[in-house]
Amino acid sequence: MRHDAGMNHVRADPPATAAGGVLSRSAFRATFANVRLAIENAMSTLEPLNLPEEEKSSVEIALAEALNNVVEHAYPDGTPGDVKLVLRHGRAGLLIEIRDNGRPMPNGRTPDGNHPTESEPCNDLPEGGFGWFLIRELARDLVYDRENGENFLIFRLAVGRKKTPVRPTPSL
Amino acid sequence: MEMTSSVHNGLTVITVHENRIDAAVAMRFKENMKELTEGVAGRVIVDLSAVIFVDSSGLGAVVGSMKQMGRGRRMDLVGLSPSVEKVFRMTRMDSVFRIFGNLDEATQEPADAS
Repeated sequence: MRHDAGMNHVRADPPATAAGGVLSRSAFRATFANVRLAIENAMSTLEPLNLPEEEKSSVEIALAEALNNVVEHAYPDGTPGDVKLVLRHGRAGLLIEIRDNGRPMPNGRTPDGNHPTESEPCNDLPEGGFGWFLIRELARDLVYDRENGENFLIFRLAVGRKKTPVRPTPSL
Repeated sequence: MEMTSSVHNGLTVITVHENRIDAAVAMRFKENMKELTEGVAGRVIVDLSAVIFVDSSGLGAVVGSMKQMGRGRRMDLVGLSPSVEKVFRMTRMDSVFRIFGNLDEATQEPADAS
C-alpha cells in the first residue's frame, strides 16, 4: 500500500496526509429524510474539491447506502437514535466515518450484499439488498468495529486524490 | 412524491416530478406506481428525466413497480441521468429494463415489441 514511503516527495499541501484533514463533522437523528439532508450537506462540503461528476456520484451513492443502512438496520422500525458522520480528505481520497449507537451488524461483520446476476426471471428479481454490494464496489479499506455499544464504520473512496508532485529530474 | 400519467403515441407515460427516488420516498413511489399502472393495458414508460439520484431503495422500488404490474407487462425507462444510469449498470438492472434516451425514442418503438 505504502509503496511511496521513503520517496522524496514534495508536499505542496501540508494537510494532505494519507488520512486527511477533516472537511466536516455532523450528527443527526436517524431518519431517511435526515439522511437526504446529510447527503446534500456532504455534497456541498465537497464542492471546493471540484470532483468530476463520475466521482461525485460514487460519493453520493456510497454515502446514501451506508447512512440508509444505519437508519434501516441499526435503528430498525423507527427506533430513535443518532448518526455521526465525519468526512476527511487527503492524498488517498475521501474518508467517510459513520458512527451510531444502534444494533450491531449481523455476526459482527458488514454484510456481503446481493450480487447482481445476469438475466434473472422477472418475478425473481431482487428488490433490495444491493446496498452493501454498491458500497463494496465503490469503497476501499472498509472497516467495521463496535466498541462500548457504538458501531464504527469507515471506508475510503478513491476520489479527489491529490496528485503526488513529481520530483524534478536532477538535470533541471 | 409527485408523479403524473399521460398518453404519448397511444402509450402510457408516467412522469416522475421529483429529483430523487431514495429510501425516503421509495415506498410512496411504488404505491403511486401501483395506482397509476392499475388498469393500464400494455407497455408503460416511466420518464425519469427529472430524477438525478436513485439509491438501492429507489432502485428496489422501480423493480418492485415492474413486478407488481404482473407477468407479460412491460415497463421501460426514459431519461436516466449519469448517476442513475450508474446504479442501474452496477446492479445489472440495465439488462432488465429497456432504457431509452428520450420519450420520442421510446414511443417510436412498436407497442407490441418485447
